Amino acid sequence: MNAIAVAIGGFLGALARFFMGTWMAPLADQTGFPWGTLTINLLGAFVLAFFLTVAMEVVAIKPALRLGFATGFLGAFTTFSTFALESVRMLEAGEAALAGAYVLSSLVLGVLVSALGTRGARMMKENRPAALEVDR
Amino acid sequence: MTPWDLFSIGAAGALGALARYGVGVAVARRTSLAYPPSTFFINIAGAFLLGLSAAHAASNPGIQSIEKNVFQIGFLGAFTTFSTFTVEAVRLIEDGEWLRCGVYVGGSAIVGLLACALGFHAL
Repeated sequence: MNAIAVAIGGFLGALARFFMGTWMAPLADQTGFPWGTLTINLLGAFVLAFFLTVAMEVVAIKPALRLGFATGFLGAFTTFSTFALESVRMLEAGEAALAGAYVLSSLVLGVLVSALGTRGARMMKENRPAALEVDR
Repeated sequence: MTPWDLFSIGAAGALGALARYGVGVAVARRTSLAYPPSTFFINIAGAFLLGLSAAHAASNPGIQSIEKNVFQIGFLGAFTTFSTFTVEAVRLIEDGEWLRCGVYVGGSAIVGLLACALGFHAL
C-alpha cells in the first residue's frame, strides 16, 4: 500500500514538475537563469516542511497518505539532478557568477523556506488546542 | 507532447520515486543514521547519471527526446529530490547539529556538481 502511494505520488509529481518547468521555460530562456527549477524546488521545500510538521506534530495522517504526498509527490516534484546539471552548464559556459548565485540562492533560500514551513505548521499547532478543547 | 509522452514521464517518475523510497528503507535498516546518508547518496548518484545522460543525448540526437523525457525528466528528476534535502538540513539545525548541517548542505552541492560534471565528461 505504501509503495503504491509513493508510485502514484511520484507519477503526479514528475508530471507537475514537467508542466511547471515547461510553463516557466520562456522566462528561463530569456534570462539565462533556471527560474523554473528554482521556483519548483523552493515551493516543494516549503510545502514539504509544512506538511511533514503538520503530519508529525499537529494531526494524525495515515502513513500511506503521508508517504504518497511527501516521499512520492513532493519528492518527485522537486529535483536535485537538474539543479546540478544546470549549475554545471552555467559554469562551463563561463557564467560563474550566475552559477554561484543559482547554487547559493537554492541552498540558502531552500533551507530558509523549509524552516519557515516548519515554523508555520507549529504556529498552527499553537493556535489549535482551544479548538480541540471545544471538540471534547 | 502526446498523451503517451506524458504517461511515459509520469510512469518514469513513479519508478524514480519508488527507487528513492526503496533506497531510503534499505539504508534505514542498515544504519542507525536514518538521515541524511540516503538522500545524499541518491542525489549524488542521480546528478552523476544525469551528467552522463546529458552528454549521451547530446551526441545521439535521434533518441534525445525519449531519453530526455523518460530518463532525465521522469526517472532521474523524481529519483533525486531537493525538498527532502532542505527539510533534513533544517532537522539537523533543530538537533543542534550545525556542523553536520553545513557539511551536508555544502557537501551535497559541491560533490553533486562535481559528480554531474564527471558524468558529463566521462563519455
